Amino acid sequence: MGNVIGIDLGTTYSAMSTIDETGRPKIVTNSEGKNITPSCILLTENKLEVGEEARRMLGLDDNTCGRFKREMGKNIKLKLGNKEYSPADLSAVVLKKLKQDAEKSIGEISEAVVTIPANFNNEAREATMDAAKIAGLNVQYIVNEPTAAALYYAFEGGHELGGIYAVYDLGGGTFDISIIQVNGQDVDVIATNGVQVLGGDDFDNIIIEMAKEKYKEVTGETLASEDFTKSNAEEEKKSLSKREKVTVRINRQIIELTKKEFEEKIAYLITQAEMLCESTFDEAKISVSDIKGVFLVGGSTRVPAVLQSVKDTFKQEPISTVNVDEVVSLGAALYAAYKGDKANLNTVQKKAIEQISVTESTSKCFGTEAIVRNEARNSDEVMNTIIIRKGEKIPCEKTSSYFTSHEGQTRIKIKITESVAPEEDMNFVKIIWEGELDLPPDRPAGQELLFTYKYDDNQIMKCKFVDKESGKEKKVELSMANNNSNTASEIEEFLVE
Amino acid sequence: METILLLLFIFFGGAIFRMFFAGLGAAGRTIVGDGSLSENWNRSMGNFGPFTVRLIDKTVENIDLKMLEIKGMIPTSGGSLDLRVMLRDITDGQENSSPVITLIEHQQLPDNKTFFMNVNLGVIEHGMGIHKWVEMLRIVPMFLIPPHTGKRRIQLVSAIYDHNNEAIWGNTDTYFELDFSGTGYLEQSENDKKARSLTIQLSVAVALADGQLDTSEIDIINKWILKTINVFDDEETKAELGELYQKSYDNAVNPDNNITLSFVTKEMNEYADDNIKYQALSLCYDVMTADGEIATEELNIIKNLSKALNLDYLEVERMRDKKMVDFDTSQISKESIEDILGIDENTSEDQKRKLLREEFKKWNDRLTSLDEGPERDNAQEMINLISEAIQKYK
Repeated sequence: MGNVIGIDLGTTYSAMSTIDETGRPKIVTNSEGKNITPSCILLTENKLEVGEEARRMLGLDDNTCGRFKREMGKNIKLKLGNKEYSPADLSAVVLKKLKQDAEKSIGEISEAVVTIPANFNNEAREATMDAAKIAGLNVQYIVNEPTAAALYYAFEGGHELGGIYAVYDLGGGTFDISIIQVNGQDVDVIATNGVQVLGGDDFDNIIIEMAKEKYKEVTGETLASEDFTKSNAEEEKKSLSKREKVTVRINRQIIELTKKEFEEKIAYLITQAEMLCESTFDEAKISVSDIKGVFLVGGSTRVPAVLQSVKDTFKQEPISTVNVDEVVSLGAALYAAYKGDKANLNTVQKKAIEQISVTESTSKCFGTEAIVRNEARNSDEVMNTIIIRKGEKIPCEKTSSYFTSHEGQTRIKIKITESVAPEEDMNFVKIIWEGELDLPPDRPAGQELLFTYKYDDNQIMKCKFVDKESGKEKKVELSMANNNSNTASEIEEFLVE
Repeated sequence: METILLLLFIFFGGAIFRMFFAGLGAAGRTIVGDGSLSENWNRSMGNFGPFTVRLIDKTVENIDLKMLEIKGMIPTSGGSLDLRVMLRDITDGQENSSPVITLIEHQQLPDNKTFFMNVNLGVIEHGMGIHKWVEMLRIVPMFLIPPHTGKRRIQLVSAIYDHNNEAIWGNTDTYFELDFSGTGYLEQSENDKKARSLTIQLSVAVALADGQLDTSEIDIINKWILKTINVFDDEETKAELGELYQKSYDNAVNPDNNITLSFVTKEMNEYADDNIKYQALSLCYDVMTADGEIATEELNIIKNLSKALNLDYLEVERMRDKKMVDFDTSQISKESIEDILGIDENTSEDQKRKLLREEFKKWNDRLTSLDEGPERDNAQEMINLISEAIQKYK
């Protein structure tokens, strides 16, 4: 009987948890005895090292790499030393380190759940699954970060929680807001939204910009990036959360950074979170007064201006009963136990989680390209049409009818699209699959075609396209494609033991 | 596209009419009617009377139809035959006749919308005929478009086409009246020409809004004129339109002419269909962004234009967003973002905040779908600009 773990694969830091013998979630420390591990990689003598040393070296030379979660799902390669890696490869290195540390600490890992930001697109979700696979983890499920956090808070609340709650998750790279109906340990996600580029990393960049400006003022010279790194900026940001000003020594020069100035500079970023919260209230069809509590998640919620914004937006004090860096992984461990093979659990653990119920909803719309009548222009246009709408309870399956456009049509081109909003404009949707379906010849226009999209528990799409009359069909499963990745053995070869 | 097809037809309509009798290989269609053709065939020589065509008015499910029926001796020496039917508007005399077009796709010529039907009769031997009237096809007057509006006299030209001999037999004419209240296609063509001339004047007005006509703006307008003209193949038409559009441009840039926007938009509303109006607005957006800067005056003109042309707000917004994602948004100042988003300065602060929040949500949602590159950078810049703009309403 192995252990289950939940992994919060974060932009700046990652954390892992398991459930103890009594079924309660607990943090699994890394081999350095820390609860969180920097998601940074350092290349040393042909070995990849993950952790604090890599974080400290970030930005100093080409042998360090971090913040690659922001690139997940993109068709790009990131350089580390003289080799190139996909973001999934680099995430796999971090996951591999966590897996090794967890095995040292708690023994064999039978199943794992990895968390993802709510607004990750299909490619980024697939890349995450891919990374877990490369790392040798048995990941059957992924879960949205705010959902995992909500599950933890609901579990810790026993049967006391009831009503509508918000999960405000501002981490190192992304911001997520979820509105959740909680009844005891029953968690139902009503609405979720996210900002892809908003987190502590952006605050660090602003600190760097401030330092550059001040340095120029004092010396008249340009501050070199290796003289004030991301790691330095992160430290100063933490100090500014506790003090009104900090003095920084750079190249024997003293510069002063003030909290007031920092808060002015990050105001537009905090405003983005506020606007998204308000939009999510509308989407969930609730008013702020309906929200019984706000759960804080993510290290960036420690920034005083962020905390004040939460209080102003939600008109209440937020709830923060645990370390905000750890709550997602704790929830993920519970989710792993809840969704995974119960044979891995003892009787007490089974009893502890038996009340848990999680209902997710889709965070994206899925559709296809079709010719649609544009009434305003009085013309036929190629547009995106929606088959699965955002907010559908998962798992879900929807079928829509389409029709051939001309006589003797022997083929249709199919595009599966993904978008957050129900976009009509093809310029603003992501095409996640393209293909064709051959049709029988010599038929008039208007032949009915049935497009069925199925979105499973793991947020993976399965699609079926059927020509109704002939029964000809095409099936597509959008899952775990291993794109642009090095092989597991290559990663293994580089990993430090 | 529809307008372009219509225009193409006008200039090639005569050729198409000649093609009708030249044995065009149109697809055969199934014979319909109460009594089938096979039930009425016979071969008793001389008892059928001449080949005759008639039109019968009938109403089916509240739709007025004209049913074409035939009877009599089939004029052939034997072979595979088609019945072919075409409509001509002869209100202004045979010498000035024009084809009639239809909106029903399977009653059109393959390359344009001219009414044309081809009914395959099968292999007919010499001496065969039809005893009783047999329905061959149905014409739906409500889908017919003559060249001009009003009461029109329509000539139905029918003929038997012999595939074996590549010959036409039994050319027969039938007539009916068509009361058409819409815009005839020739009128529409003239209207479209006027509307496109007006489009040029609108685009020049936008270009001049900041006080000067930039080279990049002139370039955009010229490209649009060329693109509009180049859909035509024949040089005569190109030359005619080129001259017309050049004149329109010259009039617009000449300050002595004092062309007012209110006059142009009024004319546009009279002559342009919605599709041309959107094309005009799209050109105005292109002109606005041509020099890499967006002037408030240009924005105001476009805002007023979309209102004056009674365009659908959502459609205008869709067009604007498409332009913005291609525009280098780093050139936009946070002061002008509200103008770009079409937020009226007289709107209350609460409403402005709400509108900005909606725009933020929209661009933020789109960012998830856009790949790395200029479009994504521009969308991110829009998000940042909106976030900064909204702070004054907190």
